[in-house]
Amino acid sequence: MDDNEIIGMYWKRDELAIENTRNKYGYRLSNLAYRMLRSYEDAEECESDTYYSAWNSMPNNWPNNLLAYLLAICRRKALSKIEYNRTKKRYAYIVDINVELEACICSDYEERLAREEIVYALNSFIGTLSKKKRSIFVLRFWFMYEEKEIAKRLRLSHNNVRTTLCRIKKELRTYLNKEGIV
Amino acid sequence: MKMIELIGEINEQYVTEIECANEMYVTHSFLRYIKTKWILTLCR
Repeated sequence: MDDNEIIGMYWKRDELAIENTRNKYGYRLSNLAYRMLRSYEDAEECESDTYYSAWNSMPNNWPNNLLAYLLAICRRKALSKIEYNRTKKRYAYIVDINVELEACICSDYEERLAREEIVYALNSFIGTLSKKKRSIFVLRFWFMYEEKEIAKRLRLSHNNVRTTLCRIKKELRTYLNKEGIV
Repeated sequence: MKMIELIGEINEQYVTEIECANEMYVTHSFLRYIKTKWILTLCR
């Protein structure tokens, strides 16, 4: 079923919209949630919460891209769950990714900078990257893939991915510095 | 506000690009499989 038809069903408050969304994108949502939460039960709950949020938010929105819209909701839900259960060891992986990213920015960025300012700089930075680097960056920090998973997916060596990620982080630091963010 | 949360707000197009690449990856893998099968058949 076409995305616009599904969105139209949400707008008409037709409950079949959820069923169709699940059939079309359920696997991708649960996949993302599982990668972040490392628990099938939590991933399933996160996927259901995503449909619920989409159901509530859709009458006000007509997403340009339904999948990206749902993935963003799912990612936020998973992060909230991680924040709520932050003592659990299995989330150490996500904490590590955050540490990797925060090493590229000044430690007091939360007090000094507005959210929009950082997001704008990140968007501009990603726009300057080559397609390969952009894919590695987004897979690592948005989709939370492990280095070896990125290598497999992009058909690169693990070493290549690791080196490229190091370079990207260095470039990000330099970019943020140049923009006066760091 | 954490960096990992902020990354979640980047342009949708970067996320979509990955999703399209995913579909291409699946197609590529399938084509590679067919090619291997075809070569093996020829070798027999």
